[in-house]
Amino acid sequence: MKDNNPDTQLEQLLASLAAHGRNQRRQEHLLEEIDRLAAAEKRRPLWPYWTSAVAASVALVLLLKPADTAQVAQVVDRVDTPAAVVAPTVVEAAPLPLMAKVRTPKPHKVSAAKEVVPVIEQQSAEEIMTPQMVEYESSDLAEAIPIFDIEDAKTDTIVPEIHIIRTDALVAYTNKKVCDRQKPAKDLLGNPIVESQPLLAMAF
Amino acid sequence: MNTTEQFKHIILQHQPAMQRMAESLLHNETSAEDAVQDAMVDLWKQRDTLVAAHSTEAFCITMVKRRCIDMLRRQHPTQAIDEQALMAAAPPPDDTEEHYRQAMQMVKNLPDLQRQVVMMKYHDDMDTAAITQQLHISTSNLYTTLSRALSNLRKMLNNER
Repeated sequence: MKDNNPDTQLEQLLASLAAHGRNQRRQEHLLEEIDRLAAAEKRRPLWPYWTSAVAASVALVLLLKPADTAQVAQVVDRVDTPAAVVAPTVVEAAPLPLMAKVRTPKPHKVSAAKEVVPVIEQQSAEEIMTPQMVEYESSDLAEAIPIFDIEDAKTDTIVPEIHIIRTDALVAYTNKKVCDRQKPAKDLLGNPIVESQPLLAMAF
Repeated sequence: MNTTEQFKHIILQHQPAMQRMAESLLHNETSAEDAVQDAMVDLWKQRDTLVAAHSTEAFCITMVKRRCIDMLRRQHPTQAIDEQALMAAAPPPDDTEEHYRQAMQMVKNLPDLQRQVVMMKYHDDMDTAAITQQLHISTSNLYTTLSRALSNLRKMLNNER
């Protein structure tokens, strides 16, 4: 308190009180943060460092949560984008309900993918996918998932990307989409909407 | 004392110096708080080394300086930063503790209600509503008490001269 003005001294006094209080709150906050870090560390499961890579990947698969329809939708929607990532993924139903067997594509799958490319370019991905997929059994669904790169298919390039999908969730998603599509469009009075005629025809 | 308790003790001991160091480098109180917290998380990851360190203060200060340099780089990506000079900087001296000690000597001489009001308003940064609710007094009573408390403090400062 070097300044002799009492008002300035009083201001300094109050400021030092405020500064001390602020610092105390900072310390309390840091202590809470340390407790949070310690609690988070206790919750974290001990990763078996000693296990081999094979054992680790098995554990990862067992820990996987079942995919829901939203996740499947994300994967399926990727086909709609022009630069969809190449991933001719094959998914097969596995005996365990939470597991899906995923294998990377073999070379002959590339040609199969290339053959489908022109079809996709002509029609929307949704039109191709939904009706076909419903007709397949779950084991065949794997073959019906057209996830591949439209651009890079011509160059035989495959990006090694693996998707793990629960086939029953995929079926549920596609069934819903088909049901939505099959509902006839209706106007406000409930009458089916007839497709409008071209403007030129109406003029005559 | 387990490692977590030791770590807490070290952090509490050096937090004021870390905060002063960060404020002197960043010139911003809030950014300094962020830098200290980030440094604390870094220190937590190396707590075994910290606990065993010869100078825990140097360890903590170095960590907060690194965090500050990272933040400065992000804030001013085009400006050159003299990292060596920043790493060599020492934390500013601490005069707040002495001021606080002097202030508390005066505040504790105030009547009970006045002392509580001053501490709640200035030290604890509580708003008027919270103070009146906690002390069960009216707003006008609070302002009167606060005014008398400041007047008493001013008198004490005058008498000290």
